[in-house]
Order: sequence, then C-alpha cells, then structure tokens
Amino acid sequence: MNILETVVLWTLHLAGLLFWPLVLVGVIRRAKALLTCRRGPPILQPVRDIAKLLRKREVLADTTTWVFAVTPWVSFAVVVVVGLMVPLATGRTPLAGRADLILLVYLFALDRFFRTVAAMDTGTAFGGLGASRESFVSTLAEPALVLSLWCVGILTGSLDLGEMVCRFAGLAQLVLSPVYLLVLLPLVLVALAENCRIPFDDPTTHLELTMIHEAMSLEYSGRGLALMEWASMMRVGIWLALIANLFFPAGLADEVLTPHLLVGLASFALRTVVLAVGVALVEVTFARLNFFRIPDLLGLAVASAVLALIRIVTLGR
Amino acid sequence: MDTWPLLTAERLALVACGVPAAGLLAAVGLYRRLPLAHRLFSACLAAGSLAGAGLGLLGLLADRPLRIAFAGPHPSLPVTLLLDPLAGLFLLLICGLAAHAAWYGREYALHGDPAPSLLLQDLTVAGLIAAMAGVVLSNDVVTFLATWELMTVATFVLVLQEHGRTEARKAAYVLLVASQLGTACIVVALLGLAQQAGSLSFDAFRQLGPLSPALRNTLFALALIGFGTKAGLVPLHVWLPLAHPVAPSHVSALMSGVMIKTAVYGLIRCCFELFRDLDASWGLAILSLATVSAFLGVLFALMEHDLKRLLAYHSIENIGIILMGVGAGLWLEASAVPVLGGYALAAALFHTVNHGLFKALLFMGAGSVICATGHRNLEEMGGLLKRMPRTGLTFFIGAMAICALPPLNGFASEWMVYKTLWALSQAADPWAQPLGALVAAVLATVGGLAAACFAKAFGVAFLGLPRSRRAADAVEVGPDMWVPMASLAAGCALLGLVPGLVLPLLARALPACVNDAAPALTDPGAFLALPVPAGPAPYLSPIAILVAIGLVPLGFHLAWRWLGESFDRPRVYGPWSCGYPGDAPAPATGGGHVAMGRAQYTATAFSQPFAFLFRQFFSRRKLLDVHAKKTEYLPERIVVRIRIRSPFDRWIYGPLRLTVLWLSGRVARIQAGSVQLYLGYMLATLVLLLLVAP
Repeated sequence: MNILETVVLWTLHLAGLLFWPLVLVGVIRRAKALLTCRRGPPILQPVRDIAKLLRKREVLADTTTWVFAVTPWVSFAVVVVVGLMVPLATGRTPLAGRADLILLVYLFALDRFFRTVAAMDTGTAFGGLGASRESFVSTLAEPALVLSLWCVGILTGSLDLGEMVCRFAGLAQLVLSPVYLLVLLPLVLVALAENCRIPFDDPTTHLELTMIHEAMSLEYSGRGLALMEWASMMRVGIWLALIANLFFPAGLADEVLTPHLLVGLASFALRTVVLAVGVALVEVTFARLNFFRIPDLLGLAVASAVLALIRIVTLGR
Repeated sequence: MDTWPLLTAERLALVACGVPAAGLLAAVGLYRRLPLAHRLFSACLAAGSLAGAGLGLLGLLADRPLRIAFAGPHPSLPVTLLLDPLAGLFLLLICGLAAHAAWYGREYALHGDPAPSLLLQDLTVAGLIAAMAGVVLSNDVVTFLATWELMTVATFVLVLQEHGRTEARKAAYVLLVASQLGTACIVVALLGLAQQAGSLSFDAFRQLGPLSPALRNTLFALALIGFGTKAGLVPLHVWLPLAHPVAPSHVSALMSGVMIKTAVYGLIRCCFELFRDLDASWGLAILSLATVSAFLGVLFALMEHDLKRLLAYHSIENIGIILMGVGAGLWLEASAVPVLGGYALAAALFHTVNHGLFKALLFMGAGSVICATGHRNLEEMGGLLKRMPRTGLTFFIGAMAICALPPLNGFASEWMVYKTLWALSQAADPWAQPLGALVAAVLATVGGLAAACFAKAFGVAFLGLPRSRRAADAVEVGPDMWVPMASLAAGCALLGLVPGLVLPLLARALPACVNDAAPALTDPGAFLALPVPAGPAPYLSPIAILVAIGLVPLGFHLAWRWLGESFDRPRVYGPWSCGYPGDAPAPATGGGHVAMGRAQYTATAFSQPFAFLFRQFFSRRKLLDVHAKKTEYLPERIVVRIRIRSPFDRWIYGPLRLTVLWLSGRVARIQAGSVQLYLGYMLATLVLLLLVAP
C-alpha cells in the first residue's frame, strides 16, 4: 500500500467512523418521529448537540474520583480504536491484519467496564442501578456475539475482522442457506442489546425505573457528556457497518484507489441508512421488554447461533 | 552461567535456605520484642525467597537440568531433586510471589493486635514456601508426597490462625479432609506407577513403556481427582472458598496465587511426562471440567459479598481457564498435532503466571482494605479510592487484569486460550471444532460475568461514598504494604504489554513431547506482540493497542486547539440525588434517616439480576428480621440476611456427610467396650490372616 492510498484510507475511515454515525443516529430519530406522525428534529441535530456540548463547561460531582474523569476519554478512545478495526466502505481497514474478533469483544468489554465503574463512582443510586443493568444485559449478549461471529469465522477460515468480511461477502451461495439467517438473527439482537435499543432498553427514557444506559451517563455534563454520547453513537455506527458489510455486502469496495471506491461509499451510505431506518421500524413496532424477559430474547439469539453451528459442522454450508 | 561466577545454583540455594534460617535464629533471640522479630524474620524470608526465585530462573535458563540427591531416612529412599525448566518456571513463580507476600506480611501481620504466636505463624509461612518449592523440585515419589503433605499441614495451621472463630475451624477441618482424600488418590496413582516401573524415581516413570489401557486410565483418573482437589476443580472445590478467605491476607495471596498452582504443575507433569499415550478423550474430559469450573466459579463469585471469598471463587474460575489450556493441549497432543498442543500448554502456563500475579495483588489489596476498615463485607466499605489512593489504583489494575481487559496480562493469556480453542478444529476428532466454539462462547460469558463481578467489587468497595463509619475513617496503608502491590501491578502491566519477556521462558519450560511449539513463541517478532499457533507472523500487539488508545485523546486535543477552542476547568458540585442531602454523614449503624452513603446501590442489589437469572444454580434464601419495640409497623431495625447454598453442598456433600455419619454409627456398634470382645476380634483377625496367607 503506498502512502497516498494509506492517507486516503485513513481519512475516509476516520470520517466515516467519527461523523457518519451522527448522521445515522439523526436518521434513526427522524425516521422514528416520522413513523409516529411527528415532524422530529433535523437529521443533523446530533452534530449540533455534540458541538454545543463540547463547548460547555463540565460539572463534576464532588463525590467522584479520577475514574469518573477519565472514563469519557477512555470510552471515546476505545470505541475509535474498535472502529478502526471494522471495515466501513472498503474491505480494507487501517488496522488490517492486527485485529481479530476476540480483541473486538474485549475492547468493547474494556469500554463497558470503565463506564460501569464510572457510573458507580457518582455515589448516587442511579449510577449503580444503570451499572448493574448494563452489566447484566451485555453479559448475556456476549455468548451470542462470540458464537455467531465464530460461526462466520469457521465459514471464512479466519477470525480477522477484515478477512471475515471480505471472504464472507464472497460466499454468494450462502444467502440461500439457513445459516445466513441463523447467524444474522443473533447479531441483530446483540446489536440492539449492546446499543441499548428497544426492545432491550429505551434510549429516550429518563425514568428511574426503566432506564439502563442513560442512568450511567446521568451525572456527565458538558464535554464529558459529549464524549460519552459521541462514543455511544459511534457504537451504533460500528454495529450497523458490521451487519451491513457482513450480510448485505453489495458494492463493498475491495480496493481504495479505484473507481469502485465511489460506488462503495455510496452503497455504504445507502445500506447503513436502510439499516438505520430498520432500527427505527423495530423501535416503533416493538414494546420495550420486561427487564427479566431480556434473557429469553438473548437466549433465543444463543440458540440460533448454536443451530447455525450445528448446521455448519454437520452439513458444511 | 559462567559469566556470573557468583550466582551458581549452589550458592543461591544456600542463600535461599540460610538467610531465613539465620533470620529465624535472630528472631527467636529477639522474642521479647515481637514486632521487631517479626519484621526481621519476614525480611529474611523475602530475601531467601528472592534467592529461590533466582535459582528458578537459573534452572529455566540452564542447558541441562540440575539434579541433586541427598541421603534420605533410609538408604533405599534418597531425597532426589530435579531442577529442569518446568520446575524452574514454577519455582520462579512461587518464590517471586513469596518474596512479595513475605514483605507485605511485615506490616500486615502486625495490624490490630498481633497474637503472641506470630513467630509460629511466620515459621509456618516459611514452611509453606519451602514445601511448595519442594513439591516442584522433587523427583521421586517419597519426596514429592512428603513435601505435598507438609504443604497441607502448613496450610491447615495457617487457616487456623484465627481459631477462635467457628468459621476458621470449620474451614480448616474441611481443608484437611479434602486434602487427605485428594492425597490418597495421588498416593495410589503414584504407587501404581512405581509398581509398574519398579522404582520410586520419577525418572523411571518417564522411561516406562506403555501401560495397559485399563491400568493407565484408572491411575490417571486418580491423579486427576487428587490434583483436581488441590486445584479447586469443580466439583472438588468445596474446601477452597472456605479456607482461602480465613487465612491472613498475605497467606491467602500465596495460597490462591501459587499453592493451587502446584496442582497444575503436578497435572502437567502427569499429562505430558509421567503418563505416556493418554487417550485424546482425557483432554476432552479436562476441557469440559475446566469449562464448568470457570463458569460456576465466576457465578458463585458474583453472588459473594465477602471480598476475600469473592476472590477465592475467582481462583476456581481461573484454574478453569488454565486447565482449558491444559485439556486442549492434551487433546491436540494426543491427536498428533504437537505444535498446537504446545501452544495450548504455553497459553495455560502463561495464564498460570498471570493469575499468580494478579490474584496475589488482589488478595493483598483486600488485606489492605481489611486493615484500614476492619471489614471483609463489601457493603461496609465504599469511597476508599479517595482515602487509599495507592491501594485503590493497584486494586483497579488487578481487577482489570483478572477481567482479561486489554492491554493487561490477563488479556494476553486469555487471547492465547481463545486461539487454542480456535486451533481445536485441527484435532482429528470431529467434535473438536463445535466444542471449541461452545467453550469459546462460555469463556466469553465468563469474561462478562467477571467484569460485572469486579465492577461490583471495585465500585462498591472503592468508589462512591463510604457505607460505614470505619470506611469513612480509613487511611492509606504503609509502604511495606503498598510497595509489593505496586510491584505486582507493574508486573501485570509489563507482562501484558511485553509478552516477549515471558513467552521464550515458557517455551523452554514446555515438556519434550510438545516443544515443537517453541519456535512460534520465541520468534523475535513475538517480543511485543502475541504469537499465533501457526501460520504468519504474530500480529496482535497489546502495546500498539495502548498507544492507539492513548493517541485518540491526544489527537482530539490537538484538533480542538487547531479549531481555536479552549478547555475550561470543570466546576465541582454535588451530584444529583433526587433531593436527598448530599453531604449528610453515613450513620455508623443502620436506622435513623436515610443518608446518601446508604442510599447507594449495594453489592447485593448489583448482583440481584444475575441471582434471579441463575437461581437454579444455587438455593438463595432471604431472611428478614424486623426488630420492633411497640408495633411492627414502626420497626427500629430491619436486618436482611441472604443465605446462599451451593448445589454441591446440598446434593452431593450434604448427603455424603450424612451417609458417612450413619455408617460410622453402625460401625461403632462393634466397639462394645468389653476387653474379651476385643481379644476375640484379634483372634479372629489372626485366624483369617493365617487362612488367607499362602
């Protein structure tokens, strides 16, 4: 890879990672509003919110320690590093060949560990409440995530994220196989759970009895809140990109400096926006689950991944 | 070795034994001034342990194994020692951690009111260290069993330090019974091998030809039960969570950090050296048991609110992860893929070292917290990070390491275990690939549960507001206690970031039948990166991850400045707490008004969703005592007690205990108390023996 190619790849990837998720979240919010017969905020409203919050002075609770202060930075940085591992518009990633599934899972765990601990640092009842619930949901999502991506790994012969995406896209006949749906279902459920979306959590609620994710960032303000919000929007973007590239790879650019790149960018934008509208559709059609019914749904995800595994091991694809 | 003429093995061994012995003599002389004597002896013990660690390093780096033989109690029973790289690795780990623990104990053992038997406790700690070193060095059955038993006795005495408490006496008794049953199995296994080899030396076992399958499987099963008991493998783990927490904290660090590893050592010797041609299905069996151990260990840990018992349950989890590597290694070795088998075993050894470091660190952190607050219950702590910044920071690093979070050492070795599970698809067995996937899924769940558990432990103990008066008054411990912890925390970071420091050593320690994996581990490219079992160069570099994570905020700052924006210093204000007074002091006991410290989420509340979901795995009963003077509608005090009973107690050990008691009652009937009857028994036995004898 020559220097120009590297520069273009990094620029595009960073732009797609840092700013495109803000648009996607704007799309989700707008689509939800339109679907419920409201007008809704402009699509670029998340960008304005983040820009405003970044300029605001932060207020730290006097009960907190350095853990609370460093967490927005750690969370933001870890999510950016994860984003550099996941293919966006091209099959190439800046960290190609240096990042596998296990690192992805454990970097997400690192991010979550800091966020849960910081939530408990506030010394209020809300922090612990959010931390406990978030740990619960994400722990249950873990086996489904690893097992379904492990199945993709078995099919593609690699645990490296870039190779998994590129080779999985090459398995064209797979679309007609039950394995395709059996792997897609757990990943979609895990994506909804990890991003605190309905039916697992309601990202708009601030009611103590029901909130999960919001309870954890309740005490943040100004720049800290901006970083936390931005990181959580990037997580949405990363998950949508992962699902879009694995299961709907049409137009995925394989090289950087070719005319394909423009097609790749356009198709990436289109595919992620469609998925974002899909998330909005799920959010307006389903009700939020009872907290203790969440294990049932994530159990379904695990069962689906196990079925995919059985199918792969016994019958190949 | 020629380049350092002063550091020969003999001299190091002499220092390792001589300095503590001299320290003991001096300490006995200073008996009247107990704290001084204790400090002096502990310092000598630490120095001797360091020399022992040096000896281990020499053995690890030496080209030929070092053999030593002493005259034993009988001419036919010589005491033979063997220092080969595997023994050297374990010796390095044992003595290295012992040095930290002994130094930590200098101050820890003096907190509160030191008992007059303090020197006896110190002597027992020295005995425990010597016994563990003896176990890994011994090269014949008698030496091995003698040191193994000495280890048990030393642990028994140390667990009984607080013999005034029922809990300690019960723990010591259970420990003794479990250890003796385990040892009995090991005795039979080793003597069975000795009978076949015609010698008590382990060297003869290594030369032994193939055994008959039935005999080999029986003896190996016994060895697995014996070592599994010491290691705390589920369902033989019952003694571990009882015994580890009641010992003094620096001893808990030794017990959890290294003593249970001697069982891992014994199992590795058995799997890869003493028993030849084991079936691949033994690998499967060990892998399955290890997976169950890892899962149940972390699940019970999550339910636990006694900080030290929580850590003890995590030892069960981590032993499970270590034995996953051993089991997968055995499976792959038996499936004729020794390169991958060696890689798996290296992953297990790496996790053994790492668990030693972070578990000792965490137990010491727990000890410091106990020193400062006098409580072991998480619900009585809180807000300690502000009062004990050094203990808090090191405990945080240990917690991150045990949760396998990158870029620390726990992640490095667990990543290698995952790679091992991925490599299982190359075993001959068609079940290996799906099983590897399922075990990986369980391991991921275990990782999630461990992260939840340590978010709970760290969050409740160190963050937020104090939950009791003692926690509010806590002060930082002295340098004798936090320096060893800082050293271990630095070790956790260093081994995680630079795995190349330890992987070549692990490659040397691999048993002969799997050392084909050594090139992948000693590859110079693996210095800063984690190696993959086969194929292209190693690629995952923890230090690069750390640098990348560090560069993001830096880049953000630069971009922000470039945009012409500035950073305001944060303003400090009270948290939002629904209108409760934020600065009200926490009451010493419950009752009275709701103060904010008590309004925080408790550890019980934090783990309640997990308790509900996994309720089938243990019986959990909530007992509510309402203390009221006039009417129950105006309670003075409400006490909630949650009793958790493990299913093993309920379904296996409880009935077993009752059966044994019942049988003993029956058998006791022959003790009628009449001399004539006893004489009759003797006569009957004699006649029987004469009839049976050829």
